[in-house]
This record gives sequence, C-alpha cells and structure tokens, in this order.
Amino acid sequence: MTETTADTRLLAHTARVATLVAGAALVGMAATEAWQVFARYVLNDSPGWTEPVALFLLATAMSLGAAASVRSWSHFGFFILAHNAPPALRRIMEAFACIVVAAVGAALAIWGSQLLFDGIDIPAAGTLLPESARFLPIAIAGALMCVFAIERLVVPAPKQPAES
Amino acid sequence: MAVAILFGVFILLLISGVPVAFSLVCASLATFLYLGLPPIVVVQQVASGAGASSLLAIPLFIFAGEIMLRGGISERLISLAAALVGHVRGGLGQVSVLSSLFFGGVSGSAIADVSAIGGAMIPQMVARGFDRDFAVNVTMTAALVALLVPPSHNLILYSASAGGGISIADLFAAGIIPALLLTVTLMLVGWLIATKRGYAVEAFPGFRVVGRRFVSALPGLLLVALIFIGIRAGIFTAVESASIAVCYALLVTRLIYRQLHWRDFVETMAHAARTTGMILFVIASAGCFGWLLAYLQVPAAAVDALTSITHDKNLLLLMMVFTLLVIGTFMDLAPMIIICTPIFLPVAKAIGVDPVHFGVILILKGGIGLITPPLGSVLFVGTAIGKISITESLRTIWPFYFAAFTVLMIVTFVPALSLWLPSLLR
Repeated sequence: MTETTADTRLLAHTARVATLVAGAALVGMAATEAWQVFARYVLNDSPGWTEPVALFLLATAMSLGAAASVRSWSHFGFFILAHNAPPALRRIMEAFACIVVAAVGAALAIWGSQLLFDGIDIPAAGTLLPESARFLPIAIAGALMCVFAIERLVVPAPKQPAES
Repeated sequence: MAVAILFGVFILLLISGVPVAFSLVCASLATFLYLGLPPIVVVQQVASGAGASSLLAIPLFIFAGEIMLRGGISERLISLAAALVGHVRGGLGQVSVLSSLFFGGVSGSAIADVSAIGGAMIPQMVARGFDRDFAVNVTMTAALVALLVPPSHNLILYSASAGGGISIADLFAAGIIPALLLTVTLMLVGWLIATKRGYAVEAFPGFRVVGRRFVSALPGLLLVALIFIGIRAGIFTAVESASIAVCYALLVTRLIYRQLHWRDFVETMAHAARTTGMILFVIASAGCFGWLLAYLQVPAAAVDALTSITHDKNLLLLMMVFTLLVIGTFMDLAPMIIICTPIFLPVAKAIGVDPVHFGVILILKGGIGLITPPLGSVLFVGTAIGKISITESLRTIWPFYFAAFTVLMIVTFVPALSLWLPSLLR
C-alpha cells in the first residue's frame, strides 16, 4: 500500500515535470517567433534557425502535454457510454481504454526511438539539431503515456471532466 | 474493406471510451496492418501531423488567452461591457453576450470564454434576481461568439486541416460579421426573455464611467487590432502574431495591470501546456488518419456519394450542415474540424462553396455542438459553473439554441456575410 502511494507520488511528480517542460517549450516557442520578428525588422536579418527550433519545441509541448493529460485523463473522448454503463461493464471499458492507451504509448515509444536513431546523424537544415530530433519528445511522451495508463489501470484515478 | 476497418475500429474504440487521439492512432494502425504497409509509418505520420508551421499559432494563441484570463484583461472587458449595456433590459445577460464578443477577441476559445465570463457573471446575475437557468444559458450560447472572432484558434485549425492553403487572414475577417450577427441575435433573445420574466433594469452609470472603463480595457482591445491589422497588412504571419500576442499579454498583465505573479504565470503555463497537448495530439493523430483517408480516396468517394443524391447546391449544403450537426453532438470541436474538413471540404468545393465560407459554417455548426448533449464541453463547463443540472439548462435553452441555429442557416445561405469583409480587406 505504502509502495503504491510512493509510486503514485513519483508519477504525479513526473507528470508535473512533464507539464512544466511542455510549458517551458511554449515560452521558448513564443520567444523564438518573437525573435524572428525582431531580427527581421530591427536587425534586418531573418534567421533560418527559428522555424526548425520552433517546430521542435512544438513537438515537445504537444507530446509532453499530451502525456500529462493521460494521467489526468483529460483527453477528448466520448465517455458517456462508459459513465452510464453498469459498474462491472464500466470497469471493463475503463480497463480496455487504459490498455489501448498504454499500447499506443508503447508503439510511439518504440517506433519513435527507432526513427530517432535512424536519422540522428543527419543534421536539420539551419540548426545543429538532428533531423530526427522531433521524434525524441514523441518517444519520451510515448513511454510516459504507457506508464501513466498502466498506473490508471492499477490505481484508478478519480474522474475529471474533459477540458478544451 | 480498408475504409470499413478505418472507420469501424475508430468508432468502436471511441464508443468504448478510448480517447479520440488514441482511437485515431489505433484505427490507423489496424488499417496499415490490413493494407500491408509498415506500421512504423504511423509514428512518422503522427510526427508530420503536428509538423506544419501554421500549427505553431494554435498553442501560442491558447497561451496568450490563458495569460489574459488570469492577468486581469477579462475582468476589465466585462467591466466595460457592463458599463455599455448593463442598463438594457436583461442587463447582466446582455453584458455576458457583449463580454463574449470582447473576450472572444482575445481568447478565441469558447471554453475559456464561458469559464472567464461565466465565473464572473453567473453568480452576479443570480445575486441580482436572474434565474439560474437564464444566467447559464445566455452565457453558454454567448461563448459561441468567441469561436468566430479573431484570433480563434479553431479557424487556424480549419486552415491547417484543409492543407494550409486557406488564408488565415481571410478566415479571421470572414468570422467577424457572423460573430456580430450572433451577438445581436443573442442579445435580442436575452432582451425578450428578460422582458417576459420581468428582470430588473440597472441604471446607466454615465459616460464618464464608460470612458474610464474603456481606457482601462483598451490594452486588451488593442491586442485584437494588433493581431488583425498585423496579419492583414502582411507585417507578420499568423504564427508571429501569436507570439506577439503572448509577449504583449505578458507586458500588459505584468507591467500595466500588475496582476500576473510568478506563481500565476507557472500555473498559466502548465494549463496552456495541457490544453496544447490535448488539442495538438488529436491533430497529430488525425494527420495519420487523414493520410489514410487520402490514400484510400475517401474524399473523392464522399463527393461522388453526395453528388449522386442531388446536384442542387443548397440541398447538398443543407445535407452537409445537418450531417455535421449530428457529428458535432458526438464529437468535440477540434477533433471534428480535423476529421471532417478533409472529407467535407472537397464536397463543398465541388458544389462551388468558397472554402472560407465553408470554414465559418463548420466552426459555427461545431460551436452549436458544444452546447448540445451528449458531448457539449461548453454545456458541461457552463452548467458546472452555474450549479444547475444539464436537464435544467436544456429545459429553457431552446430560444438561444433556435437563435444560434437561425444564424447558422443565415450564414450558410448568405455567403456574402462571410465573404464580403475578406474581399474588402484583400
């Protein structure tokens, strides 16, 4: 019991860190694009690196934000049938949803890593980042999604309404 | 058969309670396996789905909206609206509608709108003798206005879902007149109900107060002008305007209003990150689904199927609107835009509907879905804030619903309402 609580706390902390990294990526995106405007109009020199960097930050914000949302189960969905199903069926449906999410997370983690390593030696145009860098946040987020979904399967969390 | 697997698995997973984004990936994966395509391509397509530059604007506008919500801009806009229309019959109800127009302009999100305005206005309305159902219903339907006013991220999402070929500046301009029409119609309905129920009228605070509140709300209102003029004049792109919106919102809330402290900022950032993750992950997953739709030539089949029924443009448009209305009641706005745009836009184009006009129809119709059970997220948020049940809300929402539907029909069959302003500003 104590171990489960400690694990849950660790995962809550992990989800919080993922959310904050995603938030920091948003701040980075805003700064990168604002720099593009400043450089174009004030320095009269449009830097070429802003777009690939902003897209990498976009992938980071999306992937980690999506992974954190798996833990709070706040992704868009059609949950009304599961909510109104008899308790036994409802538990089966919720477990099934967790298994599907965990499987998708695992697929993103495994194939994302493979795609990351396949293109790691090819530099992206205009930056020092490898061409396949966009798969890094996807692979990490996939692993987190898998872990969070398994956690939900083992320790069902209280329901939260979907956000938009 | 592949199309049946794609849609069959998607629908089956969706009704089983699997979130939309994961249902899309799984359905795509099943179809890839059936077609004998390498499944790793699914991950490539997911990455590509979120790799379009125009999508950068969506999280940045979400972020800017969050900063404005927590940084005091929304309360000043409500205050201005109260000074302008608080003395009209149904006073605070009218304030809710006008605030939605103002705040929609800075947030572009119906949920943010109903949370910000509903949180402030519904308790005030109830305290001043308005019925709870009226307070909730007027605020929820007014939130739809936000979907059409620049910088609505739904319009950007539509442009991206259409392949990025539709001008975001045109879409922003196209939403303005329908948004004003919806505002006026909802205010009229609010006035009629308030008169019938005999709600109290507030005193006019005087032009001095209006002027003072206008000055106080001006930085928020200026942002809309900054974004709109900046994009329209070609000074910056939609993405750059979104980053300018974030920087501007930070400066206003931190330096002028002095309301956004570090702790608030961290929470704002975290909330925006979660919303970004939810919306963009659906977009990314739909990238894979959309690739399969194109690979399996589903849009062409949809055009053939619909035009084989009739060639009458108006009838086809009506059929599409009703089909989308039904889909919209079961699907949230962002996933609906992403999934339905590649299927229905080719049909709209085939019958001569302008893509910009179709975008406005799609968003407005999707907005009506947001206040319709079983999956209306604005309905859930609005009734939760107003502390009434969905059934209580639905019992008396129909005049507002009818008004929104009437506006949808007018916007659908009078293209000039959407297309006149973009052509004027082009």
